[in-house]
Amino acid sequence: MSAFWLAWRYIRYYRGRTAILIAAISLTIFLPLATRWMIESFRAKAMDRASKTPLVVGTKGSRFAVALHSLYFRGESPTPMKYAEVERLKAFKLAELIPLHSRFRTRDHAIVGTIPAYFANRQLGLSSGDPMSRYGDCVVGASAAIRLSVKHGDSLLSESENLFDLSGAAPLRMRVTGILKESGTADDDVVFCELETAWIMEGIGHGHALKNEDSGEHSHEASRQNLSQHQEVTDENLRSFHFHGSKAEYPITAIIAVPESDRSATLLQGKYLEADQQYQIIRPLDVIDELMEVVGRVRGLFDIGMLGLAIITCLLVALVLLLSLRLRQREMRTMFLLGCNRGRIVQIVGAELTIVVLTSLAVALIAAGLLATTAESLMLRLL
Amino acid sequence: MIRISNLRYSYGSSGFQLSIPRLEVTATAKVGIVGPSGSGKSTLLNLISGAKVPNDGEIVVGDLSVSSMSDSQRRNFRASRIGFVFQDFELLDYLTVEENVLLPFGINSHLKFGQEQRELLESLAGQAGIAGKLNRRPEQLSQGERQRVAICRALITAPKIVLADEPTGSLDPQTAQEVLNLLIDQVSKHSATLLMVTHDHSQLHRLDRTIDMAQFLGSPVGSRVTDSQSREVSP
Repeated sequence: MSAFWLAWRYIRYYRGRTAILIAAISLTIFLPLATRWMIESFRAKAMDRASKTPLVVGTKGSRFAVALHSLYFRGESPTPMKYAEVERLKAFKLAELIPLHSRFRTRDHAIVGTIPAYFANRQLGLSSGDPMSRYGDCVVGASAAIRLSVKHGDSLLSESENLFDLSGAAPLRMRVTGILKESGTADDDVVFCELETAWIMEGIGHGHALKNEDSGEHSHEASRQNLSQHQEVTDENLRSFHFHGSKAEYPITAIIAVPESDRSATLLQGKYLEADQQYQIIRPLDVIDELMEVVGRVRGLFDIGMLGLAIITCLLVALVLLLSLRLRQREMRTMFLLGCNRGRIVQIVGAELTIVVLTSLAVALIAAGLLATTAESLMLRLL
Repeated sequence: MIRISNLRYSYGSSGFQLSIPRLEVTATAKVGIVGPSGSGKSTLLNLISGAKVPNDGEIVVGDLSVSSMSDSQRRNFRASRIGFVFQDFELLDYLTVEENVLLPFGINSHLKFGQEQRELLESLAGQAGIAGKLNRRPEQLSQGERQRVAICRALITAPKIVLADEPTGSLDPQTAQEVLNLLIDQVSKHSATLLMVTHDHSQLHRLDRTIDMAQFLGSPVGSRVTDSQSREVSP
């Protein structure tokens, strides 16, 4: 019977009280550790994503809102900008421009309208199905596909902007043509469609019967004749979909700019120096870094609180240990009378404490490790 | 043989003082130790086992002088030569019956457990009527069975002396009788010496002799307990 064996038997027999002790110690270790790891993991992933998004153009206002919206499609929809800004920047030939439109959602997942260059820039590939080929098609991020329980060939309905606004844009049923490979980024939680599909959801583009099918003459008599607009793009009604007004006026929510060089980036940033500019250009890396500094300062305060909690827990564990030794005085006395030396008794109690502390440490490390792996999505929910 | 000479033991500010000019117990004798509460019955057992050290005098067990041993020598002496039986059994709840009986081997590295001890365990368990309960925990046993386990634990190291401190004090009369029979039978079988503290004078006739501790108390307390001495000792 080794000291560890006796200690193990004791712990196993009094598993209830041991479990409480382990839970208390684990929690004390877990909380600061999990917070630290979670923040570090989030920081690494956030900085990585930000570094792959060199510049973002958005409406003036909070830089954090523009960064979070363009990187993670989170938060309130920003004030829309006009597509004309894309065309204005294109003329400078300084960067590849990727417009984003993210105002609509489907069952709590953002619907992001963009162009094929986005997928190339983010290195997103399909795990199944095909790329989008027409209006009304969408490809779904890996996590979103699981949560929405969809596969290619299924359909997804966009949500109305406002349930009580009957004159607002009607929901559009989208055809899921493919599922994206898991990327471990915010793209996994998103439903992507073409920019034009997002504009159809906006009500700028729509499909309905033409006055003269053969000539293709466009008339809106259909609505006056109480004929409903198409809520889904099909092979049959595809030709009836059309857009009104100038494309330059169409809304987008951000533009990702991938400059050709540092010089191009600087020149592009220079285009937004005028005070009367209604748009701003940000470097997501700087914004996320700044955000992380704020998070770091909050964590510092949290760490102080945790230190206090750790001291209290240590004192309570010491108290529990002392009370336990007091309760076990007779047991110790019996062992002593049976010839056990005091060193051996200390070994047994020490072994018990070691098992409890090591188990607590293992529980805390495993729990913190598991939590850290899901840090990004958890932190995003907090943002 | 146990031989005590000119022993003096006192502790604390309680005024307790035990003074034994001369006391001898022959080997294999079964001795009852009686006396009022606080008269030093348990203290005497602790002194003989080496758990307590006298202020003065000598305790010799066999050819070993316990009072002049070092701490570790007394511990080894206690582990190999002494068997203890307590009033409240003092079994460890978290061990099985078998593990409790074998505990002395588990906590004393110099005691070796082999085939001989395995056979002794089986023999003791069979005679104590706990052979079928070796895998149970103490809480699953009756009071009498627990004391039987404690007796087996006391004898598993084949000690020369068994010190029993009110071994039947927590048992009903019938169970007490059965346990006492077992204790005396086993001690006799193992040719050990038994020193048994008891308040139950009806048990004394089963023993070879009785030691009244009141006679060894120092004057501060002794004068007080001497009054009750006759009540305690007379059967």
